[in-house]
Amino acid sequence: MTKRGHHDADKKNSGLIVRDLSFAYRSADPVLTGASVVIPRGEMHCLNGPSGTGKSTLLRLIAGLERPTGGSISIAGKQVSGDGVHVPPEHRSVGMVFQSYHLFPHLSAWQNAAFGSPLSSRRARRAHANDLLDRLGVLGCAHAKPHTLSGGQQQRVAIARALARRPSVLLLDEPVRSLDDASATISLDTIRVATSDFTPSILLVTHDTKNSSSEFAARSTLQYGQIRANERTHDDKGAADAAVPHPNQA
Amino acid sequence: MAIGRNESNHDAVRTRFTLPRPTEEHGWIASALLVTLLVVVPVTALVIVSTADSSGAWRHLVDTKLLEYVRNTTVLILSVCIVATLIGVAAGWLITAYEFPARAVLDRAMILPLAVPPYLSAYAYSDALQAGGPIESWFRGTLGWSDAGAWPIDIRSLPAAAIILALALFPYVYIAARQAFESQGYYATVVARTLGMGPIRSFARVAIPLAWPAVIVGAGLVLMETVADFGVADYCAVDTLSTGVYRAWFGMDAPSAAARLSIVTLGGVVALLLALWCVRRAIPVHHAASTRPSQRVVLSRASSICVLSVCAIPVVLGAVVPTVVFVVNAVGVQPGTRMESFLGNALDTGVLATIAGLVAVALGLVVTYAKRLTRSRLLHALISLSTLGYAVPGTVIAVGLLIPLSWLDHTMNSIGTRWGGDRETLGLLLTGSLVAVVLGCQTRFLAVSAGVIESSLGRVRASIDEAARTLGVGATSSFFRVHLPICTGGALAAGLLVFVDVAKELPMTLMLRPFNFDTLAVRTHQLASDERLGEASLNALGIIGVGVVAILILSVIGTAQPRSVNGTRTDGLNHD
Repeated sequence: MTKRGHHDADKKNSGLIVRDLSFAYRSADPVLTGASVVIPRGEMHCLNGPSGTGKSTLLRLIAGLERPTGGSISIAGKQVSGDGVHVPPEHRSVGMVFQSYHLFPHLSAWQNAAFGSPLSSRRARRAHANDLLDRLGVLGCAHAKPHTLSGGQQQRVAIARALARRPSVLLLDEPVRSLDDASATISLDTIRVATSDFTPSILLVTHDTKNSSSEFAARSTLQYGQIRANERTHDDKGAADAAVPHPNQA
Repeated sequence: MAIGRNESNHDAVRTRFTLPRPTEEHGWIASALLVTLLVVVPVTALVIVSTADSSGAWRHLVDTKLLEYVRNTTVLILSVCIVATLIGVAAGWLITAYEFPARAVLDRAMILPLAVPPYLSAYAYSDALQAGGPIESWFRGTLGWSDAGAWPIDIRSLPAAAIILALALFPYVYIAARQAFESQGYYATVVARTLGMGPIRSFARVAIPLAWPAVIVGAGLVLMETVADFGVADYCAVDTLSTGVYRAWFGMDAPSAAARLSIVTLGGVVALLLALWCVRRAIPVHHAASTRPSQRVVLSRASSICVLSVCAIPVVLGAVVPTVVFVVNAVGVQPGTRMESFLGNALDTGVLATIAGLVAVALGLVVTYAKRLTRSRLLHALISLSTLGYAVPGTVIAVGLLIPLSWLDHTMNSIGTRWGGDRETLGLLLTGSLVAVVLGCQTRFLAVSAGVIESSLGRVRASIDEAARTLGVGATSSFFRVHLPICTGGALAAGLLVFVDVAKELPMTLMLRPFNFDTLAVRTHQLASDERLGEASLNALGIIGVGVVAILILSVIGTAQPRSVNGTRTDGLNHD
């Protein structure tokens, strides 16, 4: 594919486009060396890889919590990282569910869910948060503080909090780590239902290579700092390859 | 910095070949760097003024008193540190390792001497033990002494000053040693006992080496408080560097000599801090392998009485005796005669301590949050400069601030006069108001508020900040919506600690206060210096009361189990 072809595909997808991303923590070996991936709007992409290969680092780069040393990131057709550009995380249309959820301990479940809501009135924010909590099945604990919730409930509140901004990209860091297969499938179904009205690009990272949910449109593996495409489970999207070939391969 | 420039998606600009645009983070860091001026300006002023001609005053000091100042200060520091460490470690070990009646009560009571400033103990013991005092009179009556010179206790001496300071400051070592012994857990000493060591050998060969790093931290605090002491040295007639600076400024009216003496004192403080740092680095920190609490040995009745007495004596001498002396003296004063003066002094103290406490909390929050926003080691180090003032004696800070503030006052008056204003109407805006003393309190006590707030904020993981940022919230909004609500308790505790420290502070308040503004500490010092201890007693009891209430509140806060805030802070880097 030519560079011009890439550009047209980018515009068409308007989801998440990561190209040739490189990154190294200070005085350490590179974590990423030319990682690329495209996730069209509405698709759920699963990224596998053993522990320590840089999956969470990739999510932090997409969220804007770290600056890449090379490559670029575009979200919804706008470049947010690379070529001297770095849009801070609060100005990216990204929602992130962290490994340990990191709910704000001083706020109740609904206040956590409403934290990033762009709605202006408190009543509207609360209604929106409660709607999300309802869709995720945790409306009953809307007034509970995080430390009183179970791990699964905390996870759902964290997802609701990330979705309240209606982000273009939703990043999930090991969201099914502590769940069994059946619960994990239900959890992914729930995310699909909760995002049905604004269809973000969803990137889920997990070290569990056995995860077999049919929700994923594509899978890939992060190894040796690069992303290798494994399979596409949904062909009806007609989008570009899940993992973009390296420009040198084009 | 992990987080980048604050610009919208639409106006994201290329950073190549352009200066970075100011962001919220830059604002916080710049504000924190401004706070470091609280330390940088006084030190710079001291250096500049010390180069001026001292008109022979400095030469006179070098020829007559400087060596004595340095020698007395050194001996005082060493004596106080040794005695306070012995008391603190011994009491810490006995209360951790053994079970005896009233152990829990005594555990809490051991910190009560912190409520009694050392200079109050000096006044009290001087009154009780001086020749012609109640104790000497009792001995004279009982033993039939007739020789007035036979009384062996000289309260106005260096050994007396050292003992008074050690009895007031040993809780710093006790708290550190107690926590260290408790954290060693069950197995450290049990294993030693199974290897054939008795209680004393296991204490010496296992417990003490494990606790050394903490004990050194406690002894370091004792050291800094001793260097900073003015009241005890002044009252016990021990010429130290701290009293020397005061006399050079007020007695000799020689700013340059006072500045040079301050530089010598600062040099000593820096040398001591470096020595402490080297010792701390040389001693490895060990972490307990077990969290199981230590099992205390139940003592027999005779041993219990013995241990109880050993632990109770420092508390009685450090807190109970001075308080009783002031109560007895206060009862002897005619009722109502000094109440009006007391209320006025209490009001002045309350106003100053409240303002200083609020400002210290605000500055502490700025400094702590700015440090959280940057990963640059250089910026961390620069921002941390603002908390070094705690190691500087109050007299040195006062001289360091009086020099630039007086210059500013005179400059403003000159400009006012030149522009046709009336010199009288402008006056001493900085040195003649609360500004100088509040600034001095920040220089000295910012470390206290920043330390408490940092500890409170440290319980919030860096990933909580990141969670807020990914939800569209900037650094400032995140501070007000996430960090401030979480560390409100820490900020209140910080404000309370600074309030108490300011209420007890003597030399800086004495030198920087505006005219007709007497805090309880200042008035007590003046009355005690005039041998009017009865009139000073009510003020002294007021200071002790503030200290006791603060200790009670802090112990309640400390007992309340803090809610989990997702564990301790990490560097926020999750390498997957």
